[in-house]
Amino acid sequence: MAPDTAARTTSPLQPETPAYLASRARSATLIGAAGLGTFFALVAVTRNTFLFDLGKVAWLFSGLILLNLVLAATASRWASWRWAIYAYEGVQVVVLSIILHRLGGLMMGILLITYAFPVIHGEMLRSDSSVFATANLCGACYAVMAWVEHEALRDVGVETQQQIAFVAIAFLTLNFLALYANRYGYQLRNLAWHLQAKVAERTAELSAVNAELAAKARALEEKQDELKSFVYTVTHDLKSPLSAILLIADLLLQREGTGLAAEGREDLERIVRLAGGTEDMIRDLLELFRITSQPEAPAWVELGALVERALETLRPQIAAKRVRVEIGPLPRVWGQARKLGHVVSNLLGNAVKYVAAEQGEIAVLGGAENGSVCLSVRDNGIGIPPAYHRGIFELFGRVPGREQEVDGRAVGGTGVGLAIVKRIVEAHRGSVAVESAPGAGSCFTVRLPAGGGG
Amino acid sequence: MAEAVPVLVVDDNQGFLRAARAVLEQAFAVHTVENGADALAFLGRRAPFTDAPRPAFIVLDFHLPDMDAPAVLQRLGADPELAAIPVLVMSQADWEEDAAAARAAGARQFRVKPSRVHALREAIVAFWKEHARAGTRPADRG
Repeated sequence: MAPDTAARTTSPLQPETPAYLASRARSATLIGAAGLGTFFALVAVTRNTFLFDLGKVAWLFSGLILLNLVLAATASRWASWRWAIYAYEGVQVVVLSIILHRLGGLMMGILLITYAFPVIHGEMLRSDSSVFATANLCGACYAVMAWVEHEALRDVGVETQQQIAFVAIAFLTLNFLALYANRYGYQLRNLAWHLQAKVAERTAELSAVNAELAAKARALEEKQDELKSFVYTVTHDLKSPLSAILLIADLLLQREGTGLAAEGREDLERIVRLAGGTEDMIRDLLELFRITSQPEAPAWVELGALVERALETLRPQIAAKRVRVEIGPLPRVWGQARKLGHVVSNLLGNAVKYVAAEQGEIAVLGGAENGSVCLSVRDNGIGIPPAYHRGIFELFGRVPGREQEVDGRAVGGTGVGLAIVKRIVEAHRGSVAVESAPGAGSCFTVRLPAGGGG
Repeated sequence: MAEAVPVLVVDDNQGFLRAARAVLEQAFAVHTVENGADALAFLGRRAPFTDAPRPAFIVLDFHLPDMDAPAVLQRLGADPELAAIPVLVMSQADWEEDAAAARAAGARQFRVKPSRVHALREAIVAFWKEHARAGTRPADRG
């Protein structure tokens, strides 16, 4: 109850606009017509029991019903005019009284009940003094009827004093009825109005939230574009001078290299090597950005086909080192083919890179369990010390050169490859893990949701 | 080679121009400019390039200070004579959008700038052999 009261006191009342009054008048007159129709039907059905003379009231009933229908059709023209409502209710009450009088056999109790309807009906039109006007008009009609039937009433034993008391009770009852009709009708209507207002408010809130979400999505898109142009610029501005340094150092090395002392030549070679490594890092960083930011529609991806394709690209290296590759049956997965292809070629590329020549063995195995599929790439290469198992998946994370020599030589790399793998796998709501120990080979396992995750 | 084939290299990176010149000098008559406006002036033989030769092909950097490669290519495309000159667009990164834009604007080839002298020479010579040596424009632009 408390929130309702609070709502009523804090929220504005429904404004009585002409359109609103017209809609109330329209429903009130239609209900009036229906009520009169029902009343007439009741009289018709019971005419033999109560000896009603239907002919005396039929045209009054139809006239009053017609009046209600005409008023319903023209509600917008008169509903805002208070006197029209008084006049309408007056006509209604008077005609109703005449109908009751003509039906004969006046029963004061029934009469009072009958008058209750116009009072409630009056409230339907407009909740204010017009309801009391209707109630007192009904009271007056009741008094007139009592006076008209004065003799008949006395015949059945109702004395004049009792008749006056009846009229007084009628006035009192009808006014009380008007009071309650006014109050509860008003409350009911306001409750409905507040409910409507609340719905409108919530709808507005929802559309505001929607608009906010759309704005956020747009902002995110803008940020993405901004990031893209930032990476683009950095790439150009960082890579340009670096590749020029490389070109000139390389030029110098080729042209003057033979004339330089061994130390000078070594320094020059060092410059080329270091600048080259940095350039590779920028290139791979770009690759990371490009691969992970590229939109791609998901589809069913055959992991076996991805492995075949990756091995095809790696064929020269595999042939050079005489690596043996074993492929088990592989599942399919719902995901982004190009990105997953990158994952596969990266893991296979690493495996080829870190096995020793002539004795390298790589096994690619797949499996499915509990709604997820897995792909593992196992090699018998140099392995990874446990201390680096976490770091290798981070950007630029690498095992230090002296701890990873293959066939007596340090293996080149920028430490971006596995970072790309991790990002792609995680974007697919999967995970990647490594099992490895120095000298015992490595096994990288990628787990992905079988039905895709996003 | 009786007379050196003229080639125009457009790049704002002087280091790259220096290297390109060193790499190509023996086989080509290398001309270099550092921005799009100068490249268009050179090709249109406007001051200060009034006696510029018509290059057999152009090596064009994607990002020039005043305009990008597709903009330069569009201006070239408007002139039927200049449109026939094969253009090799080079960029620091192989962004697919850039490659597509360059090709759509009429570039014969788009590739990442090599950062070793040997690779640079090979790339340019290969382009010359494929697109420019015959002196005619191949039917497809790819």
